[in-house]
Amino acid sequence: MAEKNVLIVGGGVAGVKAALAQADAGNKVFMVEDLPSIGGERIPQDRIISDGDFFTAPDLAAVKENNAIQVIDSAEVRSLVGENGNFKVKIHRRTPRVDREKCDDCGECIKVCPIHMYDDYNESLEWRTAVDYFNFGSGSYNVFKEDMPVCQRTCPINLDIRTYVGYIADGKYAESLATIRKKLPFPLSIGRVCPHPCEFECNRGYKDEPISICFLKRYVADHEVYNDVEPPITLPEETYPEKIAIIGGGPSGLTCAYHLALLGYQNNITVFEALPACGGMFLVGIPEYRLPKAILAKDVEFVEKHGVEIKCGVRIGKDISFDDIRKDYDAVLLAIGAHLGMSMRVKNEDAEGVFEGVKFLRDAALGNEIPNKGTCIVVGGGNVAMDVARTSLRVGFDEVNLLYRRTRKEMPASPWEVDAAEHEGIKFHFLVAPQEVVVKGGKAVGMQCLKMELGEPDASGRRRPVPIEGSEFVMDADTLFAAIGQVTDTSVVEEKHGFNIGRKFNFEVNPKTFETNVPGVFSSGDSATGAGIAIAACAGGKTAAESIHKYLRGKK
Amino acid sequence: MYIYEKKGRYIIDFTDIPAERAEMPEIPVEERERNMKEVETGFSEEVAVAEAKRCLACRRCLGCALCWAECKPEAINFEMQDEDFDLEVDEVILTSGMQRKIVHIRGNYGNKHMNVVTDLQVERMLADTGPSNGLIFRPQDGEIPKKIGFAQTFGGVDDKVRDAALFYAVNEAIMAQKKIDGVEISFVSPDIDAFKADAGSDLDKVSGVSFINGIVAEAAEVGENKDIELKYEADGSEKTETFDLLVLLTQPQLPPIIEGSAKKLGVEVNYASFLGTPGEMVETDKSGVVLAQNL
Repeated sequence: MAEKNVLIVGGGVAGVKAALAQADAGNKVFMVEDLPSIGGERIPQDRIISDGDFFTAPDLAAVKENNAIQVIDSAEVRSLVGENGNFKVKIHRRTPRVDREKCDDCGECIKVCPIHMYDDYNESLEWRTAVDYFNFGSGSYNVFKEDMPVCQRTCPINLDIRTYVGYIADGKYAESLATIRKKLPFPLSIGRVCPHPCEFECNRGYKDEPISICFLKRYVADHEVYNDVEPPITLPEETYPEKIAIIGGGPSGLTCAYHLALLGYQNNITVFEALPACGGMFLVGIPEYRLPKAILAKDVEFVEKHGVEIKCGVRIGKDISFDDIRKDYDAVLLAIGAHLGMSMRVKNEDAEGVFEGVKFLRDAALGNEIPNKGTCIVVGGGNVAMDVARTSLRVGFDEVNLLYRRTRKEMPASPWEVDAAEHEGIKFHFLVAPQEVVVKGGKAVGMQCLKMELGEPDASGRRRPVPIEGSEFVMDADTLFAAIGQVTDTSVVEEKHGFNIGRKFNFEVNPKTFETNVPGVFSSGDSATGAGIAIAACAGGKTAAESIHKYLRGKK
Repeated sequence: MYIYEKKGRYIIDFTDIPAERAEMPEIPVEERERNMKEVETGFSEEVAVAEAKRCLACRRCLGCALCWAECKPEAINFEMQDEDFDLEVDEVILTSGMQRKIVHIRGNYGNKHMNVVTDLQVERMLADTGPSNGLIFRPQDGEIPKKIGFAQTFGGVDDKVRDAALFYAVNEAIMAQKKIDGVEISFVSPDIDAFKADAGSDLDKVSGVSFINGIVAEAAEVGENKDIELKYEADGSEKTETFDLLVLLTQPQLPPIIEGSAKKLGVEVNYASFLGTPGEMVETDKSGVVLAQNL
């Protein structure tokens, strides 16, 4: 039988063994691995070890000597299609910058390299040099030259954190802020509210504690405001004539407008905002005590000064039809956020005195009339629930009770928000599920609840709460808030416009370009992805701007 | 700790750069009552600059070319580019690859406790070619731990995956027990009872490790030595135990290269698909695509 070509995906212990077996059978083997070398975990995962059988040792030397095995490390599989006997594979390999054919494993390069970086092969237990063999004995030398540090890679909008933090260390605040604004027009706001995923990945965290990246961003942004420095505005000389409508003046819409201006569409961008002021969830989702309106206004003003026209109090589908927008503009971005509270699905939910948490926050932010007397119950365990609870206490409620059906450990809210809520006097009730709104004379007077206990874990890995039978009790309250999630109100468009609406009531988009199924219409932020964090919405807006630019230039 | 000595050179810890991160100042709780005043007040210039100086400016190759100058066989080539190429193959073998997820323990967000490590880090410590030549040590001070805790923080995974993770960590506990004279080891997992049933009599023969069927709650740093105090729930009550070193179990999962390849082939796999008879090849629904079972 003629020899076969075999592709092995994954260079762990099982992959190495399979490779050697295939080579022995006379086949030609291609082994692809995403790490810079093969090897893998060596402690058995299928049995209790006994003396002399501590490690499973893959025979790396045999792989190296075997001419029938070609190891392709630092690789990605870009495409893999076909049938038995005829698979076509496209591989992308990141360069090691070391010619392994020539390398004789003498190790002299390691001795002279002046760079010490975290050794990810050894799980950061020690340092390695920027040129290294990664895995001892593999002979797979590399020059490590990542495009981005880990913080930048983690940031949804890829802020150049290393640079702007470095500028702060040097006292160059204006340069630092300019670095941030290359990508993000909201340093004042994001510097206050971001849950900073970058900090969880920060390499300094392996040593002691991560850098306080988010608050450093706030510092440079505040520095400009406190010193009355006029933010510098630079716009390109080459401009384009196409008109773009942005529906929704929140984090995503305004970031898109900002980047379109930087791309050369200044004075041709109009933002339509339904509410009386711009800012979206920054304005009506995040309470004043976390992000003051006057501070947010500075960020919005910065975007506006880039030749962006902002029309507030204009609701599409009511004040202007979507068809008119389509007619008057060459491209449209739908960035309308997720402002509709999700239902608790309990009896009597529509009774007087039961409110959506997001609506309460919106009314509080806009100075509308809000309930504020007596006691209230907040249902939910996310950051919106924390905002509702902490706001309730501030606007006048005497007692705020928060119900969550799992335990504190499972709460999706940021732990520092939970701690702050507790310090301020919010009463937490864990393992309690709402069952029915108790109504007297047409008005809610409390919530009938059920005590829960934690059972088996569910698909999300969190242990599923199970009701304890006969544990019903009633918690009295004058007002009830549901803060269990938000969805998009897609009624700005009609069925005849033909938008594909996704499972989270979002506009379905191409995840790379944020283009909807309707040509020339894009969507980003919560209305495209479902409720998420602000910086991700900004990142979406930036990508959408680049896609709109491509779309408009491609048309020519 | 971090073994600072490597290949004859040293990394210096600067005493003027604080180890702890700057705390955000806040107005007191009393001042927040019945008003919307901003709670967090922001860093002062002094604090901001000191905090920014903590940044390690994560190191990478700067292109100084010292290695290039030193390399006798002229193997180092900075001009080398990423490559794209096509292959044609008759058969595809998928393996589980190597990737593990850490589920953080409450009290240790951002890995701030030095004496909390993962089982992957312990594997590196145990390896003769690893950073400590096979020695288990406390990252805080390099001391040999006398009391080690193992804790499982993840849940809700397939039984087979859970068992694989537990075999891995239990085997580490056995090795630690053999390597360190008189070490005390506690192993806390909510699935110990279920695991015992699957692991069979071999587990009963393990001595020197006390297995506790419990739910891990929180880890705190205590005392001058920064030992780790672990809170967990077992037998219906909350328990507290202090360890020199706490090892978190990680959850094995498929890396993107495997998941992506399977998806492109239209084959449905998860980590459990690779946990059958060790070393066996398992056919999939798609002809010509087989799964190499983990060893």
